[in-house]
Amino acid sequence: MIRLTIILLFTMFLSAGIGHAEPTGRDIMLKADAVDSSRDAVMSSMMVIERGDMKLVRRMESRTKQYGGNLKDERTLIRFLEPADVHDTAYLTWSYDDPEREDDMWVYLPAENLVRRISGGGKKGAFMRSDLANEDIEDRAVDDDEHTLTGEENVSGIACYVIESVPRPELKKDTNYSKRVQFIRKDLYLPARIDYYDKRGKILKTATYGGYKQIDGIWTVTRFLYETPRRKTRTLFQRSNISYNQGLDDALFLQNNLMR
Amino acid sequence: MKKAIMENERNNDAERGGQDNFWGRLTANIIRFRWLWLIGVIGVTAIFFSQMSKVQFDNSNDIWFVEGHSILKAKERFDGAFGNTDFVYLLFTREKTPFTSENLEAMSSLAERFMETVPYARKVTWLGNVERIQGLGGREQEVLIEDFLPVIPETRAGIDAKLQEALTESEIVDNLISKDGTVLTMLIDLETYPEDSEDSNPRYSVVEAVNEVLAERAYSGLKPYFAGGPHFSYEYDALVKQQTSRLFLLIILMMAVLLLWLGRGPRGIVVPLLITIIAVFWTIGTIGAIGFTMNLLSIALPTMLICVGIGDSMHGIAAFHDHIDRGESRIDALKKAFSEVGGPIMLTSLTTAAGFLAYLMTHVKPYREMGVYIACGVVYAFILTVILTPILYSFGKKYPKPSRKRNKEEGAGDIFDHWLQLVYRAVVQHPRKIIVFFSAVLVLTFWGYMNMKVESNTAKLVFKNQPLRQTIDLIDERLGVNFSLEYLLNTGKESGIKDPEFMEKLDKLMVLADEHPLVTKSTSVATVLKKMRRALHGNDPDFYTLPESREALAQYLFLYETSGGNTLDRLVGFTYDQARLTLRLPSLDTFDARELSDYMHAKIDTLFGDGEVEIIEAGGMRNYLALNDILFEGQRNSFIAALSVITVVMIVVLRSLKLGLISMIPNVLPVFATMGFMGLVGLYMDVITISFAAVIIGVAVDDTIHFFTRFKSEFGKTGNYETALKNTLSSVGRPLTFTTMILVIGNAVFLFSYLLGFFKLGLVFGVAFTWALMADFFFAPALIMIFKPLGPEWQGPVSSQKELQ
Repeated sequence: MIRLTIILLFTMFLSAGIGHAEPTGRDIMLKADAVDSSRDAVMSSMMVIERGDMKLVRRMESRTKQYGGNLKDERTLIRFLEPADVHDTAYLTWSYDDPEREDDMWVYLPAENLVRRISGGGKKGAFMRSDLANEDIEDRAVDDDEHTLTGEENVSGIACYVIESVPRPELKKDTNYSKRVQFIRKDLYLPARIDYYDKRGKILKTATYGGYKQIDGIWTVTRFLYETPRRKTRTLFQRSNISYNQGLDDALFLQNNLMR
Repeated sequence: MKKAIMENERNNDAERGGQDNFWGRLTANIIRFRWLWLIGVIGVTAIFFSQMSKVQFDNSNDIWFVEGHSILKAKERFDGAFGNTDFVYLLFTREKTPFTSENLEAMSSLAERFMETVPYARKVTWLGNVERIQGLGGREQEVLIEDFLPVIPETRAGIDAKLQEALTESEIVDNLISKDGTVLTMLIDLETYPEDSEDSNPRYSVVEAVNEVLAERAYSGLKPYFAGGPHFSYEYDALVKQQTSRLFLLIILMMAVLLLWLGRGPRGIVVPLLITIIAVFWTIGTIGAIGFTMNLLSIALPTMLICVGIGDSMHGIAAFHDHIDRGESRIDALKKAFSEVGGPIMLTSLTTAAGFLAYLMTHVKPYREMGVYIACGVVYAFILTVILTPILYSFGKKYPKPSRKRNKEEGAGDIFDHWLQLVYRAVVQHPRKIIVFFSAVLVLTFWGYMNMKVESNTAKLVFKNQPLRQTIDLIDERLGVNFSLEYLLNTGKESGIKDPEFMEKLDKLMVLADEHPLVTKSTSVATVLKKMRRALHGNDPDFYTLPESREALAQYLFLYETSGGNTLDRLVGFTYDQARLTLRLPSLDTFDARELSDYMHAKIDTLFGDGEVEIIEAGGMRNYLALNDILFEGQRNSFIAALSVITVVMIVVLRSLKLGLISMIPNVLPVFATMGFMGLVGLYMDVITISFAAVIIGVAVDDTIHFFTRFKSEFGKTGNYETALKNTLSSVGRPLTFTTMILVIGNAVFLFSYLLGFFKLGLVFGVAFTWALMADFFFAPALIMIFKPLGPEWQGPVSSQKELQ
């Protein structure tokens, strides 16, 4: 579970492209995923988790850099700012495109001045008590699912492809979902909405995206809202201060930098 | 000669009351417009019948508590803070489901299947997929988080090794595997049930879905036991429903046989049964119409209603035959019969209803409902008796054949006549001995009544041979986690539980709880923190301690939270303002549970005495304790209420304080003689048997009313206590004996119940109503003989007369 999976939070949401006449579901998802055109990224994020009239706020800073020959491997450093009592707690993740290779992860707990390597961990758990599961924010390979283009639909007046993504049978155990229905904007290849269905085939939660901005030439989602009506909870995720291709130092992504 | 006098008096009676009183006129009207009345009854019945389908069965855990009870509020707080506390689970025993690689694979697939099929399933946990956090040590102090069985071992030895390993994990033992390693469990954690959904009964939907999956071929080899709150309710309800119809048929059959023996002719069987059965339908229809619910106590409704309702028509029919035997015409006999019995049966119906309505004085919801239902049914039975008996008896020959046996001059023929003679002689010859004997019984059993204990654990209400009970016993024996006592600790401020001082106290409380011999295991967020800390320090047992600073504590919690520790929701409030402590316990009797609860309260006072932390006790065990309190108090209240109301009624009806008070003795004696007896010999009352007192009074008083009103009128006529007793016995003695037999034998159908409480009910009612009759026949008359409450005699005693010898 601790696969701290904030990592490729944006992979899915990046990139732009020009549509073909008759794309398949996989084509569209490849395009959406296709190229992380940035070599590195820096951003601040804020997560507001609401349950009834209760609210939790988490703020963090993250830095990401692409590695490997095809820039598919990735290293991410996340440092938490809020709540105050966890200030400076940090996670470092090295994730690999090779599905056989487990991600590496380290955590830093400032109060006890500890750095620990964490391995294993499931994907199904809730991410920081939010409406997001760890699997929602991790780097999911396009071919982990079967994608079927089922039609086109307008979401908030914007034309979208509707793609049904069903996990490959051997991966069923690692997911909470029987399927996801993704509404991908035809113009930006960024998601407008994703409906998550539980194992019983009932709708579990909905993610709605917004705040599309072109930053350093890259179209980016800066806001999304997850809602789980049956639990009466919602999570708003906002990103700011985004910058790409700043030429981040490799040393940032080494575990001895965690203690800073 | 006596017979002749008596009949003479009866004729006088009839003439005096005659057809002129209200009941006589009503009966005349009913017979005259019998088709109209009949159509009316059929119409009303049809309306009630249409409402019967609306009746809902209340299957929740909380049927016992009336709205606003602190228990319900505590549960609401808990569910609000930690989600649905309902869950179901399966138990796999080594003997029925050998722990082979094949079976473990099937369990693994079963867990997945449940997530796909069981509504509201939030998480399915078993030994295979339970997450374990381990410190692997090494240079990087690696921490491994993985399923306990990432792959199922293929060999016997491999499996055994893993099971042994599981027994060393405190989180897993007594939760997913029993201490002796012979039972594995699979827990299905449930989401909060939606409030406004099409699913009218989410708990049943869960159980049905689990059963469906288990019936699939792939899992047929697993043969698990099924348990958990929703399952218990589901099975219990099924048992109750099946029992209700079974007992209903049984009692009708039993009554038919009794009436065949005691009544006269087929009409004597059909009419009383028809009246009471229709009264049952009207009652159930009423429940549906006003939107009340049935519950596990309602099993007794039809049976009890038939027992207490059948007397009305039997008294009417007996009076009718008395008049027929005197050679009167059918219609005259009916009018006279009802002008005589209309008043008394209305009175007895009202006192019985009052006895049941006394339950409104309790805070036990099913009792209150049951009280209303039966009171309602009793009134219906009375109304139907008054309408239907004359109508159904009005058809036929104008002068029916009188009974040969009863028509004989001497009359003293059958066994009942002998019995009544025996009663008479005993009372007249040995009144003091009788008083001494009954007084001794009264005093002794009253003392027992004061020392009565109540067992409110409903799980043990089911007989041992029932699968439901066997599962409970299995869990008790092997796991010891049938029940829980829960504590919600509310700091009242956001992040309040991150205070190390608070956490230390919580941990201490948990350690103290674990030290108590009745606690199988306890859990709280403190355990999670200690385990995380140990894991981050290479599994060094020295680090099985709480983080020391607020920041460290927060960061460990955060680490757990970010790693998706989805049990956190079950352990701490959303804003870290409250924490939960769960004690898992075997089935305890109420005494032990109270002892444990007191122990915990004492410890809480020591640790959290400053009052800064709000602490709420909840959980199944707390419910039983609260139930115990309301039962005990409810039992007293309803008993006192019934006793007071009925005493006043008796004094008014008999127009004599002394006689009224004496008349209550036969009504309280059976209460003490049964409940007090149980207290005396140390038998526990349970949630069902505890309810008896008011019912016993309400029902026993019927006999008393018939006996005492008759006695008073006989004394008024004869001016002699012995003669009055003799005449009373020979007139109402027979129907009183009959109705008591009907009550005793009718309630005996409960002896066929699988539910222990109802079995006891059958037994206790039998004993109680027998005592009631004995007191009516022996104790009260003996007291009358000695104390002469109606003043001095003005005629010689009948005992000097020859016929007594």
